[in-house]
Amino acid sequence: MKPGKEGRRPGFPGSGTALALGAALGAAALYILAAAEEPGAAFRAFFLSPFARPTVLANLIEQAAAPCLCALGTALVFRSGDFNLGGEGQAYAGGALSVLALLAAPSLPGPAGLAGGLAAGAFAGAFVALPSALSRRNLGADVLLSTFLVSQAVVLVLDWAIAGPLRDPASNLIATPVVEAAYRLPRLAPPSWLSFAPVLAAAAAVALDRFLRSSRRGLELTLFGRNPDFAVSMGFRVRAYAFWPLLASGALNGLAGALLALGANGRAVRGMTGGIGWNGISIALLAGNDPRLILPAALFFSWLETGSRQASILAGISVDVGTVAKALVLLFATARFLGTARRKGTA
Amino acid sequence: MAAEPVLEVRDLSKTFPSTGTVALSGVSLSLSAGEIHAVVGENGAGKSTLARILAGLDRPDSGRILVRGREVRFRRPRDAERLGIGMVPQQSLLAPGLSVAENVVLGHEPRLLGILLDRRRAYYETALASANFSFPLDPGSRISRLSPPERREAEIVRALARGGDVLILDEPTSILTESEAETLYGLLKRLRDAGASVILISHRVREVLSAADRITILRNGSVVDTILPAETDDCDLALRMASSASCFTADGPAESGGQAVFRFLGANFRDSERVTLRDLGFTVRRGEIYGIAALAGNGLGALEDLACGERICDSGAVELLGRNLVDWPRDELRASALSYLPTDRDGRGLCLGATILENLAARIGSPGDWSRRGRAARRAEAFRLLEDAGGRAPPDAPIDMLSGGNRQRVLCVRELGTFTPAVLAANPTQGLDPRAQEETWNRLRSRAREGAGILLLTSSVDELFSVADRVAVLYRGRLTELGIRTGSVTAEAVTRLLTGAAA
Repeated sequence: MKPGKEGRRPGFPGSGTALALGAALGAAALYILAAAEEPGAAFRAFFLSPFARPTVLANLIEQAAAPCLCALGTALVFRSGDFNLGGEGQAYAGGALSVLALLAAPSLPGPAGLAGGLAAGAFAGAFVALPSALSRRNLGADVLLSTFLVSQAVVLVLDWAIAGPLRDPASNLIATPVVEAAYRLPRLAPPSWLSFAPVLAAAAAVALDRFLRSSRRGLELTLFGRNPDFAVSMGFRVRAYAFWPLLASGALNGLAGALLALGANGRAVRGMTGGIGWNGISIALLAGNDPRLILPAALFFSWLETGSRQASILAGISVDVGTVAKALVLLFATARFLGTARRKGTA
Repeated sequence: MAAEPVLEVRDLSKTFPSTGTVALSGVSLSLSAGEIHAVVGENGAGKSTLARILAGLDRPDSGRILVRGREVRFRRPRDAERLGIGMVPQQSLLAPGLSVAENVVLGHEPRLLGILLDRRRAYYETALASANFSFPLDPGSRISRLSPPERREAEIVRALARGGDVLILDEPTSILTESEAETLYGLLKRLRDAGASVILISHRVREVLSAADRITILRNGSVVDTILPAETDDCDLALRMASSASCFTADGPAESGGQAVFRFLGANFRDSERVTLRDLGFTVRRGEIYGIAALAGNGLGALEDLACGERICDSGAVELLGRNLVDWPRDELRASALSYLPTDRDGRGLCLGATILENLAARIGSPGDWSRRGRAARRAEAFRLLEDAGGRAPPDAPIDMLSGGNRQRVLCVRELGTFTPAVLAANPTQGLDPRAQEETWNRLRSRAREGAGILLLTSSVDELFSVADRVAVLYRGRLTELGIRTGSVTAEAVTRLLTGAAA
């Protein structure tokens, strides 16, 4: 069987990713050239200083964990043919509920409490995703809209609750009280914040990759995402595939929020997720929704953030350089995604 | 007939390079003023290609088109429109959310101040055009509220609203009931009497005989003959259309008397877009191939939907292996009971964008297995199937890279590579070359010998007679069982039934 004349060879794999990375780094370099008084020092600070000190490097790795989980959730829903735009609210709910659960149950052994807190976070994230999952499965509703709207509502409610009834009156921060030290993520290499969170994220990436590439269900989910009519005709469990990925994605986002809350903060701070849902989407797009590439992509994002912070401290460059670079990654990665979708005839 | 033809084609040829199909070869015909000229032929005879060329949607490879004696070249549909040629395609292209008038002026909107739609003029123009043809259409009604014949009227008005006087209709009655079709033909005759000329593409013999002034018969892309209705009758015309003029006979094995596999019990089904299936009752038993033939627009698609469980009949029942089809869990059904080759190969049968291997592996192995060994076993089995199909394409290449025929082969090996008691094969050899076609038929035959009950739905009489043990014909949603292996059923009889000649 030979390829038909009308057949198209797929483009060089990873070329889109390389373009997005190149554009991001190029933009950062241009920004530094234009803005820095001493470009040489600024370049060193931005690109190299994150690796110069073990503590900074350890924090860089820790910072990658939560966005990595969000990105895995995004990739899973994307495989099922949809987009979860509610990562922000799901993560925020996860962080808040993990803290509230541990504040309410103060007499557990440390590891059990921590595990319970993380589980509560995952549950909260999944719960926020539930209306969207149900409406997708039962009504065929638009997930893109429903996840976004529910998430926005959750963010507003939590902002109010943390500033109001849940606020710790003794603190200067707009935040809940701090959970007991035993419930917080153990620090593996103080003074850095490095915990087991990156290991958790890597394990989740391996598990998701295994599910998608090795299991028949994973294959069915991917095929369902590409062509629901085909999935129906093959007798796949399409109702399940319209439901569970979104719920699991919510749980991963919730877990990411719980890791943030129980890590450096030890409490739920108003606005603590700081765009993690959007970062998760950018990372997933950059990695082409491939779980094997998501952790490296998350580390790259974390490097951009750390680098821009270091450059602002050491060379007086605005921290916006990292934001600009991330925005460009999102732009290029999205453009690539749209290109693929148009070739498939879906855009 | 008037002396100078309004529209004439000479030696028109067209080949589709991607598939190598010769759609038209040296076709000539002429259309006089005030004439209804029917072009008839089986599926694939080249009728629609001819219509598309005349409407400027396709370009011929060679040959000439003359409009009122002047040679013309159509580069786009608007070129044909300017010369007064309008086309009503088989599938409605009206925007359902807009009104009749808005649809009629679409693309040529009368403007107010150069930017705004002049709604009043649009209504006036539409009302005027409708009145010219004595159509009782309200320009303000929404298309979605119109009945199928009214939609056809709206399409005709649109095709002729800009001063056109040549109308090309491609299978205009495929979505209409018999009485609606009669109304439409009455309307075409009124158009003709008002001086318009009509090219009517159809495969419905009786309808054509009652409506047309002249008939051109196409077979495999060539003109067989151009005749007057008085020179022929329905049976003769049906036979002339058939590409297999020799009389095959059905002489399959004696009735197996085996367990019922597919069983339709007085099934009725109305699909708003297509034909109503009426009181379908038949049984497909283990060990036999039961073939049902129908031309496009007679309900074969709806029957396929019912048989694969995609749709549920309005009344009556469809059983598979003694169990109502609606009671089968879908995954169990497809995993262990039913193999399905859909007509819609690229939509339902295959997942474009996925690799060849993924498409093959979608039915292999246990769904709960996450192990690497399970994955390796699935890949190995998929490789075996691909080799069976004579596959030389890289298995990890996207299936989109394959030509249509090769995609069909992948589909065939996936669905027929492992045994299931029931097989639903809808146009299983579409796009296949003769050798691959024979391979597929052999696979079907060997599955039947192993005890599967096979329901074959096809629009090709050749296919029906090549593989089916028992044959039936679906015409306008009604099934005529021709039985069986007595050797008395001929291709001629089937073709007559398919085209409504003997209904």
